Amino acid sequence: MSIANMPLVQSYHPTTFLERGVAVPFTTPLLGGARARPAERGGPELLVPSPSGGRGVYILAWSGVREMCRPTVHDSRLNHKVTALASVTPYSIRKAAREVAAEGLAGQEALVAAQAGRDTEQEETLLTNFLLLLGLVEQMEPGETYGSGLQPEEKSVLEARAKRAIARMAPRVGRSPEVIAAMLEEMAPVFAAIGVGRQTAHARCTRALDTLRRLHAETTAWSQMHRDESGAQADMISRVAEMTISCTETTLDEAHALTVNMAGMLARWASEAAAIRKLTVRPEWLLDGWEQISLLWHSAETDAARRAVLAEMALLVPIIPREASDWVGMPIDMDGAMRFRRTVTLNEDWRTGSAVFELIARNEHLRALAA
Amino acid sequence: MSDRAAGRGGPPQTREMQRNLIAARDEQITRVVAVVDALADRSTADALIAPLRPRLQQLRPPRPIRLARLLFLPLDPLIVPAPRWRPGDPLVPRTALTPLAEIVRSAAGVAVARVEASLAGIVCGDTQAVADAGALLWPAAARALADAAPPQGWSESGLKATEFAPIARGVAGVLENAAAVRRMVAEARQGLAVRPEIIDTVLEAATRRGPEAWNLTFAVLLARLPDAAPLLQRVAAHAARGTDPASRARAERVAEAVLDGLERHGPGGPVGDAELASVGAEVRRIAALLEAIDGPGATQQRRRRVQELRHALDASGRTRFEEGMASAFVAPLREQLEAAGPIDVPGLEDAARRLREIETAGRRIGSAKAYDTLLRGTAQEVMRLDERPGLSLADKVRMVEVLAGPDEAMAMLGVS
Repeated sequence: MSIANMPLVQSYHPTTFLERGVAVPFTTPLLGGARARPAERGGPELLVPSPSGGRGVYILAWSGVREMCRPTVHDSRLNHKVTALASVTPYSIRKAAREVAAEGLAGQEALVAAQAGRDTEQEETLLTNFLLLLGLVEQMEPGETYGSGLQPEEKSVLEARAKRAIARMAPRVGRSPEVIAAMLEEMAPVFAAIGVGRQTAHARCTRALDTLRRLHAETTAWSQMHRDESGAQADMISRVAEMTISCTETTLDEAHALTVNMAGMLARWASEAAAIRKLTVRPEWLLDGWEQISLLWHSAETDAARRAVLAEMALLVPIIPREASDWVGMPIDMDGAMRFRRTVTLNEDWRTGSAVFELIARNEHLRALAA
Repeated sequence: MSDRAAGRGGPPQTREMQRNLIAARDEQITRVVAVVDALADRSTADALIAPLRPRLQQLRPPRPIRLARLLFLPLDPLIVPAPRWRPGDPLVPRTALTPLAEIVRSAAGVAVARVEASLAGIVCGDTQAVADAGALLWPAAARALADAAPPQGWSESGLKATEFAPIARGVAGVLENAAAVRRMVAEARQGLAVRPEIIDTVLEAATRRGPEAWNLTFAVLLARLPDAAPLLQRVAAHAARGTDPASRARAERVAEAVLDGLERHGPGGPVGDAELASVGAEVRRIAALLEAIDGPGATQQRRRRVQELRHALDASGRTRFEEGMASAFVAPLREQLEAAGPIDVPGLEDAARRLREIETAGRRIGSAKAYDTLLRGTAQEVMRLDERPGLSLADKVRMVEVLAGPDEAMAMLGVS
C-alpha cells in the first residue's frame, strides 16, 4: 500500500492527552513527530504526521509504518519496546527510548548520554525521597532547616528527627512507620520530575519549562523580525508555546502545592495515590513533544538552518487537547493559535533522498542531547 | 606575474617551486597555505599555489578569510585561470581579481575598514560570520565597481583595457545580489523550496545592471543551486510572458558555457576534485542541472553533450565512491583492527554516510549495481568481524545499517 492509499486523518483535534498520544523519539526522518497512543483494539498505534508536510496525520500500526518508509534499527527496537508497554505515558516512552539508546542503536553518543540520563534520574529519585522525608521532618518538628551538604553530626540528628516524625505521622494515617517510609519511597519517582522543595528549580519539568520559555522568547523575536513564511511559522510556534507555558506553570504550582503539607499528602496518598499521580504528571503531558522542537531550534546555527528547522518544528507543534482547559480551569483557544499553521513547502529530497543519512545522524545527536 | 604567464609555466624558478609544492606532503601544504594566507599582497604567491587548488579542495585547511577572498566568494564557481577565459564568457579571469579588489579598497574605504575589523579570527567555514561580513561588503563593493574606470596596472592582469568594463559590471551585478543569492542557496541546501519571488528579485536586479551582470548572476545560480529546475522554469515563464523576452536566449548561452565548463573537467571527471563529504551533493546538483537544461526543445547536439556528461558524471561519482570506500572506510577499519586499539566507530559511520550520499545520488544516473555490490561486500566484511572491546554488536549493526540498510542490520540481531 502506498502512502497515497493510506487513511489520512485531515482534521485531528484530540480531546484528551492520551488521545493525542506521546511523542516517540524515532530517528527515521519520516517518523519525525510520530506519537504513540493506546489503540482501541489493544496495544499502541502510531500517529504519523503527513510526510508531505501538509495537514493531517496517519494512524498506523508498525506494518503500515514499514510500508511508508524503512525505519532505522533503533526505531524498530523502540517500537518493539513501546508495543510491550503496559501504559503509554511520557515517562514510559522516555524510559523505553533510553533503554534502546543504551543498547547503542542510536550511536555511541546517545549510548553514553542514555547511561548518564539513567544515573541522573536515579539520583533525582533518591534526592526526591530524601527531600520528601525532609519536608515531613520540617513540618512535624519545625525548627532547624537543612542545606544540601550535611555534616556527619547533622546527619545523625536528622536521622533521629526523621524517625520521630515518621513515628508521629504513622498513627495519623493509620499505618506503621515502615509503611510510611515505603510510601515516601513510592512517592519519590512520582515527584522526581517536578521536584520537591529546594529541588524544584532543578527538576526535569522545570528545566524543560525553562527551555520552552527560551524557545518562546526566541521564536517570538524571529516572528517579529521576519515577515515571511518562516515568521508565520515562528509566530504559530510561539503562540502555542505560550499557552503551553501558562498551562504548565498552573499545573506545576498545583502539583508543588501537594508537598507543602506533607502530613496531609501522606494521609491522602493512602487512598488517593492514583489521583495524586495524575496531578503530578500533568506538566509532563503538557510539555511532551516540546523537547524535540527546542532541540531542533537550538541545533540550527545559521539563518538558513533556522528557516529549515522552523518548517520542521511547525509540523511537530503539539496540539493542546481540550482536556487541558479542565486542568487549568480556563478556555484554551487552540484553533486561534493553529490557524497560522501553514502547509510547509519542502523539496522532494527532504527526509527521503540523500539528506536522509544526515538527518538520521542529526536525530541521533538530538537523542543524545535529550537523554 | 600574470595568470596568463603562469598558465604558460612562468619563470624557471617558479616552475621549480611549483614542482616542489606538488610533491609536498599534506601537512607541508597546509603550512605553506597558512603562510600565503598571512601575506598582505598574495598575488605572486597565489600563482605559486595555483597548481595546488584541486588538492586544497580535498584538504580543506581552515583558512582565515581575508578581504579579497570574502569579496569574491560569491563568484567562486566562476573564477577561472585567465587562459581559459574569453570575452563574453559567464566567467571571471583570476588575474582580474587583484585590480578589482584594489578599486573596492580605494572607493569603499569605510566599509572595507569595518569589514576587515570584523574578519579577525574568522575562517572560511564560519558560515554565518562570513554571511554577516559579506552583507556589509558586497553591496558597497558593487557600487564601487559598477561604473569604475580601469585602474592603473590593469594591463598586468594580461587583459585588454576594453575587457575591464564588462568584467567590472558583471562582478558588480553578482555582488549586488550576493547576500540574497547566498540566502537562497543556503535555504535550498537545507531542503527548503526556492521561493520564486526571490529568483525574480535577483534576476531583475541583475537585468538592470546589464547583460554581463545577468549572465554572471545566472551562472552563479546554476553553479550553486542544488536543483536548477525552478530557476530555469522561472526564466522560461518570464520569457513566455514577455516580461523579459531576451532572458531565454541569454540563459541558453550561459547553459552552453556551463556545459563547456563541465566538459573541461580534470582527469577525475566532474566531481574528481570535490571533497569526499561534498561529492554526493555535487553529483546530485550536476545531475539535476543536466536534467534541467536537457528539457523540451533541447537540440540534438545539446542532448548528446548532456548524455556524455551524464556518463562522465556517473563514472566520476562511482570512482570517487570506490576510492572513498577504500580510503575512508575499509583502510581505516583494517588499520584500526590491526592496531588492536579502539575503533573509531563514529568516524567510520560518518564516512559510510558520506558514501551512501554519493551512492543515493549516483544510482539515479546509473551504476546502481556497482554501488550495491561494493556496499554489500563491505557490509558483509563488517558482519564477519569478531566483536571485542571497542567493537560491540551494536557498533557492527550500525555500520551495516548505514552501508546496506536497516533490513540487513536487523537480520544481524536475529529479527527480520
